[in-house]
Formats: sequence, structure tokens, C-alpha cells
Amino acid sequence: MKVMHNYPIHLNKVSKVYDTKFVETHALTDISLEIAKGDFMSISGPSGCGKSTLLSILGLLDRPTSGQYFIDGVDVSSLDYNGSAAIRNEKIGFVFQSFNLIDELDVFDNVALPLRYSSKSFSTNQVEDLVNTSLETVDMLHRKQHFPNQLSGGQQQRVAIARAIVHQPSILLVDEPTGNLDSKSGDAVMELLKSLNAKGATICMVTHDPEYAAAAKVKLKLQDGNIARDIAA
Amino acid sequence: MNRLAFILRYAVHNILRKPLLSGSIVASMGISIGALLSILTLCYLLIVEPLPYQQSDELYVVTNQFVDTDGDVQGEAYAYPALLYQDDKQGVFSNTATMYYSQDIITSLPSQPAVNSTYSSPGLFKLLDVPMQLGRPLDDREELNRFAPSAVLSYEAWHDQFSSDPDILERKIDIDGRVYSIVGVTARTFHEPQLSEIGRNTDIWLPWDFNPSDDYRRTSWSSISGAIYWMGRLSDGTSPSQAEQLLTGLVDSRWQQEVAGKAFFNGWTVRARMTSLRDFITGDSTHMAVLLLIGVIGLTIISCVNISCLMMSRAAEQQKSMAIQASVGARMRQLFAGKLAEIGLLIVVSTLIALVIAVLGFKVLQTNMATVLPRVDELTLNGVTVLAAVLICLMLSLILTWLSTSAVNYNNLAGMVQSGSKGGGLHLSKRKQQILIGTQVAIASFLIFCNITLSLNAKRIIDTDMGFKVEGVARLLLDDTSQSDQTNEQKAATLEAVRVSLASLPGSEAISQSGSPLASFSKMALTNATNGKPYVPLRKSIDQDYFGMIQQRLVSGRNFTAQDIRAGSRRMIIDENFAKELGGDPLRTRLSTGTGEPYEVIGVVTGIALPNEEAGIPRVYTPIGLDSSYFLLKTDSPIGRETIVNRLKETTGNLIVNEYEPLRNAYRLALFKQVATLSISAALTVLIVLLSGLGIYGIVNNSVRQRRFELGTRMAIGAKKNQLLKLIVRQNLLPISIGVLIQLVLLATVYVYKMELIAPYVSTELVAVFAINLAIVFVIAVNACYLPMRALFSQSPAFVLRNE
Repeated sequence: MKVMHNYPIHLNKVSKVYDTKFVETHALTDISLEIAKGDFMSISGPSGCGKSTLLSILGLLDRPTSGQYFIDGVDVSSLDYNGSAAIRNEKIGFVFQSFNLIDELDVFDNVALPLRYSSKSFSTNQVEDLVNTSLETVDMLHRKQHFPNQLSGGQQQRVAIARAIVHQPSILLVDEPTGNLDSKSGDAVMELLKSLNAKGATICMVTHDPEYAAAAKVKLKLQDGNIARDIAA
Repeated sequence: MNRLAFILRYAVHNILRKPLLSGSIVASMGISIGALLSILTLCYLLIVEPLPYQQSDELYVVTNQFVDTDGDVQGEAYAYPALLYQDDKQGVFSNTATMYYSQDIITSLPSQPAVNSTYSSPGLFKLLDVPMQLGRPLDDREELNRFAPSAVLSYEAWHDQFSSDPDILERKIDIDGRVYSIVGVTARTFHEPQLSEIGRNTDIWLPWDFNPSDDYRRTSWSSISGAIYWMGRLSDGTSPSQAEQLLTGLVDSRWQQEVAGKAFFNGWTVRARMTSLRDFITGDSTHMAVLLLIGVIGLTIISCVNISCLMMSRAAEQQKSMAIQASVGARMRQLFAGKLAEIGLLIVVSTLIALVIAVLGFKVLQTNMATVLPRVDELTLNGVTVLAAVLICLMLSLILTWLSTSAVNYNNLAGMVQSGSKGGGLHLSKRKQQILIGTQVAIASFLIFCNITLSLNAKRIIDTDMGFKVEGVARLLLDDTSQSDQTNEQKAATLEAVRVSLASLPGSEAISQSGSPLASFSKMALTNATNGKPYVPLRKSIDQDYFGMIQQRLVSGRNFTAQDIRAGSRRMIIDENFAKELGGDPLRTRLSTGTGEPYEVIGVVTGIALPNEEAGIPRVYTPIGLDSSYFLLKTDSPIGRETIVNRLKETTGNLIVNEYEPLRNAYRLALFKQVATLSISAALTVLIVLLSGLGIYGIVNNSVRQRRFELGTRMAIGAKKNQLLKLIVRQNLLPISIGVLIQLVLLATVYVYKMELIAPYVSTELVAVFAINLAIVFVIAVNACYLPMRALFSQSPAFVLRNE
């Protein structure tokens, strides 16, 4: 099903229930939200409120138990494994708390990874251009031959951001980007995200840090799987 | 002491906490070490352990080789008088023994059992220093030409046929119309050397004088017998080659004189060949034992690699408790000791089970392989087995403990308690994983290749068309028990009555006075009466119904008629192989035996190929003497032995049934080695595929578990299933290829250094076998890579990324 909409991300009454042997846990209950193009949304809330679950569903890393999820007007709630993988590859960029760079690959190949998994075929020159541009954006071009273990935490996270934007996704999903960083590096990463947003990138960020949450244009507060507050900037 | 008790208690606790894992380790190691011990003991017995006789290395078997003018050996056996002449005149042996292997019926027992009899000189008992359970062995009282009717029973015959009667020495037995006094019973511990065939044990020893050779055989220097054997203990100071020369000189000169009048033997010589008793008995059976050993060693290594993977994943599970021990000050060697105690206990239990399985293995070998492998009845749990078990136990405990603990980075262990880092855990290095996969593939692939080759070779022999049919045909062998001397005519009349009587049995389709097509061929020395060219084809005596009964096709000419048989006419039917040797049109060719009128070829039949026999052996068929007391009986429904016995009793009181056996049984027995090879190879292949598949799966699964976080990241970035699967297959392709390369090196090594072992199997077919072999390895490897990934694909990427 395809709906015409102005918002690239649209959740309609999405719920997630974890059904274990002894207990049924409602991680998310009837969440409806929209993220407009160029938005910078923060999702915050106490531990266990469903932030990570929501981000996983937004990133097609998990499926909702009920409800619908549209990306660029396409219903992606019930795609199979490869269908979801194709959407993740084309429309979503991930930034993880623990960077998730692959130790065996150097910076260049880590950043080029989404292009290698793309259904479009990129020539060597195209890959090089896109990766260089991306690394330039995060100011890490000079480190493209290095391996992750030769970089600081802040540098690793910048490389992770370069990987997330190399294929120009519809949305960047950012999970506690400063969680593993010292405050100086954390601030630098936040500045980088803001500048990307200023250049037009749509960002959805999960954080428990109120200061960084406040930096977003749209702030979403989750409580026990429900949206507690939706504050426009 | 307290510390040791603690370590052991903790090890037992750890073992009992994971009963399934511990059970699998004990079961799989127990079975594979058990099989290894069993075959290792067999190889030791066949290759190293001396024969169970005093100074057995001095014992030699002598055969006579009959060599034609071209230097080809035309036969290897004895002419009866030549054997006695050598035994009498030789000066190279301090003791000798002559033996004639036969089968007889004990007619004095109500069940009239058929028993294996050996007519031997008393020297046999001296030579082998035969231990006695009761009475005495054959001795000077039974020397040559004394005709003393004494008998010695084997322990088994005494037990089975005489219910271990303690008064057995007071009993007498009737064999072939003669009464023998039982003078002794051999001890249970006595294992006789099986010279005539593997698995044949003597039930009763009788003096040489009474052997069933007829007067012609006893005096003919040109007729040879395959039932006679001669052995001796080499005198001090005489080497086997000297003995060979002396005996050759002795027998050849006398033989030349005796056959001087026979044109056929012009230019022929006889030479004596000495073979150590050990080599004579074991022959090429050691090859089979070594092949079995290679197979079980391979299986054991595969099992060990599998267990290593289990142990390493167990070490990964125990990482936290090891980290806590390290944080409170446990040193590396203390952690090693703890692990050694746990693994050592498991291996000790496995080894104890292995010893039980080895004993069961001996029983299986003794029950099923007694006709294929020599000396299996000597197999027992001995010092070598126990020593091997202890060494294997020690070696495995140390290796497995080292492999388990080498995955531990001791320096980081204590810190792990604090960090509890994501993606942590015991990591098996990539190199170790590749070595394990490469080893698995090399061994599994090598064994699969060997097994397929062995199976195909066995199947080819089994599937070979013999050129005749044995379905519904049984062999009937009768013994004459009458004391009176009957003329040949009287015997023929009795046998004709038997023939008519058996033919009228319900279910009887046809009867032929002939021997089994699966045996009873003897060599026949012939000379072309026209050009004097000599031939030595195999001969069988048959009647006019033989070819029709076994469906052996007549190609040209005609079959024997009843008149030919009755008249004992000098006519001959030859097979295509012999026809080819004769050349031109063989019909009406006249072939002379040197005595009497030459035989005239009247027909040509298709050639036959008996199991385990080279193709193209020439054969001839001559009319049977009507006094021959054996038949082939074809029935459309099975007729029991009892029916035959009763019908025979109704017909004549002079004959008894010695043997009544379907030819199908003899055929199966002849192919036993091939059928056993086929079944064992097939079972081993399935086992290897399962075990190595499981092993490679275990290693790949371990690697996928280690890379779970990375794979989760790739999933999040958008990698599709086939892209991830390719990644894992690519990672394992190198060790798999190296494994296949090692296999090729192994095969080349065997080819270069053990050519004689594999010569029968080398053919262009091996290329196809290798292709099948590669396909199997490929399927195992792809499945072993796919299954862990399938488990990963069934989880959501979010779950995978949590690294749970």
C-alpha cells in the first residue's frame, strides 16, 4: 500500500509486545508519529521506556506487533528479510552508540560498506567519490587508510556517521551517539549532527542526555511505551 | 591434598552440571577410541606379535612351484609322493609336519555332524608344542605307515559335539567307515595355524595314513593336490634361501626322473618355495588391517576435532567463572590444572568405555571377519591395548586442555569481570579456526575418497556377471559309509538309484551328477595331439544336464549326451577362453593327457568368471565318472536337508549326506569380503559425512557466534542474506581448499610410497570419484556454513545487535 504524504517517516498506531514464556511485555503501545523532511527529532525517556525498541522499528531492525509504518509513503511494516535489508540500505543510515565499525576493514572500506550492499551498482570511481565526500563532511578524509583500532572514540563515531550518510539516506537514525564518548568528543559529534541537519539531513536521535535532547528541533519523550510529551521547538 | 580434592570436586561438579554435553563427549570419544583400540590391537597382532608357538620365527611352510618352459609358474601345490619324498630325505628342518585338510562325517554320533578334519603327521604336535586339555597328542605311535586309528579332538569339537564328556578318552568314533580311538583333546588356548583358508579350524586330527587320497594320487608324480601342506622348523645354521636351494635340488631331480616319460612336462622344473609361517598365515591381510586402521584413526581425529570445538565453546561458557577465579588470584597453571581435571575425568571415563567397546569390537571381528582376517580368534584385551588406551587418554587430555585454555587471554581475564564488554568472550583465533576446518576437510575428504573407491571396487566385483546362474541350485555331497569294497559299477548303480529317487522329490526341477560351478575345478595338463603344444586349463567333470541347470550357454558344437557319460567317452567341451587359446576352429581338436586316447573337443560354451578371480581363465569340461558321489539339485521351492536325508535312507544304506548347501550361500561366502567392504565403506562414509559435517558446523557456528555483533552491523547497514552467506563461505573457502590440497598430497604420498596397497583401485574412474568426493565436501561445507546463518537470519537484526 502506498500513501501520499509530506512526511518521509510515518508511524500509525504501532505497538510492540514481547511475549516471553511467563510474561507479556508491552514495549510500545499505539505509537503514532511523523517525521518531516529536514527534521531533527530527539527521543528521550527513562531506561526501559521503549526508546531503543522504537528506534529498532524505525530502522527496520525489528517488526511491530501491530500498526503500520511508512517510509516515503511505502508500507514497510511487513517486508521480508531481504525487502527490509534493501530499504535499510537505501533509505536509512544508522549511527550506533558503540560505533559498530568492522575491525578488519579500514576506514575507507567501512564507509563504503553500504555501497557494496546496494542493489545499484557503483563504479570504483563513484565509490571513491562518494566515500571521500562523506569522509570530508566528517573531517576524517586524512584517516581513510587507518583501521578502527587506530582511532579515538570520537574519530570512530565520526567515521560511523560518514558510513551512515555515504548513500544519502532519507533518514539518519542515531542511537545514543555520545554514550561511549567523553564530553568534548560528544559535543563535537553533536555539532556534526547539527551541521548535517542544517544541510538538510533528517535525523532521529535517541538519547537520555537532556542537554543533547534539547538540541533537537522536535523532542519526543517516552514513558512506559507511550509518548508522554511531544514538544515542538 | 586439599587442593587436589577441591580441583577434583569442582571438576566433577562441572561435568555433572552439563550432563548432555558430558554424555555426548564420553559417548563419542568412547566409541571412537574403542574402535581405534580394537583395530590397533588387530594390527599389532598381525604385524608385530609373534605367532603363539615356541620360536615361531623358525617355522616355515614349503610349497612346490611347477615351472613351465617359459619360466611361468603353472601351479603351486604338491604331488603326493613328492611331498613324502622331501619329508623323508630333507636335511634342512629339525622337525616337520605333513597335513591334509578335509571334511568328514562322524557317523557314530546320532546327529552325524560334518567336521573339519586334518590328517597330519605326529610332527605337527611337536612342531607347535600343542597344549592338551586331556590325554595325549598324536605321537610316535601314529608315525607314517603305522596305520594306528587314533584321533585328537579340538577343545571346541569336544565341547560342541561331545558335551565336554570327561570320559571322552574312553570313547571311539566312526569316520568314513573306520573306528578311531580318541586319545586326546587340545587345550582351549591352542590356536592352530590356518594354512588352507582363513577361518577354517580343525575339529579332529587323524593320522596322516588315513587321508582320503586314492591310490592313483598317492603314487602319481604328475597329479597335484591343493589339500596338502608341509611345514618345518628350520635347523640352526640354515638360512631360508639355503633351504630353498637344497630342497629344490632334492625334489626337482627326482621329479624329472618320475615324469620323464610324459611329453607334456618336457622342459618343466619344480622348485621349492619357503614362506615363513607368519607370512603364510597373514598374507596380504595386513593391508586390509592397515586400511581399517587408517579409517578409524581418521574417524578418531574427526571426533577429536569435534570434541575440541565442544570443549572450546564450553570454555567460552565458563569464561566468567574463570575471570572471577583470575580476579581473586588464580594463576594460569592453576586454571589449566582445573580444566585438565575436568577434561581428564571425561577422557578417563571415555577410555574405560572404550576398553569395553574394544572387547565388543573383538567379538564383532571374530564373529563377522573370521573368514577374511587371520588370527582374529587370538584377539584379547592385552597389555598393548591397555598401554595404548593409557597413552591415548593422556595425550587427548593434555591436547584438549591446551586447546581449551589457549583460547583464554589470561592478561585480560581478570579485567573482564569489571568491563563485561559487549562482544567479549573467548575468541578462537581465525588461524586456529582455519586449521581446524582444514584438518577436518583433509581427513574427511581423504577418507570419503578412499571409501568411495573401495565401495566401487567391491561393487564392481559383486556386480560381475559370472556367466551362469545359481538360483535354486544346491550342492549335495554324499559319503560312502559301507565297509564292503564295491565295484565302480555297483557304486554307479547305487548313485543312479539315488539320482532317480531325488529327481522324483516334490519341488525337484532337475538333477545333475556334477560338482559346484563355484568350486571343484582342478588343473589339467593337456597337449595338442596335432602340434604338441601344451596347455594347462582348469577342468571340471560334469554330466549332460550341468550346462542347462546353471544356464551356461553353448556357443557352438554340442553338449554331452547320456551315452557320452555312460561310456565315459574321451570327449571334451571347452569354454570360449580356452577356444581363444587354441585358435582357429577348436571343434574336433584332439587334446592328449599323455595317457590313454586323446580327448576330442565337441562343443564350446561361454566363459565364466568366479568371484575374486581374474577374467579369461580357460576351462574345460569332461564326462563325469558315474561313481562320483556328488550332485547339483535344482528345485523350484526349497527342499530341507532332512527331506534329502530321509529320501537317501529310503534309497540306500550305503550313503549319507555330507553336505547339502544352496549355491547361493557359497556365492555369498565367496563375495563376503566384497560385501563386508561395501557395507563397512558405506557405513563409514555416512559416519564421516555426519561427523565432519557436525565438526565443520561447530567451528563455523563458533565463528558466527564470535562475529555476531559484526554480522548484526552488516545486517543493519542492509546486507542481504546471500551477501552475508557469501561472506561466511568465502571466509571458509581457503581452509576448505587447503584441506582438499592436503588430501591430494596424502593421496600422492600413498600412491608413491604404498603403490602396492592401491594398485588394484587405480583407474581413470578415480577422476569421477574425486569429482563426487569434491561435491560431497562442497555440500558438507555449504550446509555447515548455511545452518548457523539460517539461525541468525531467523532473528531480528535488533536482537542480533544486542549480541544475546
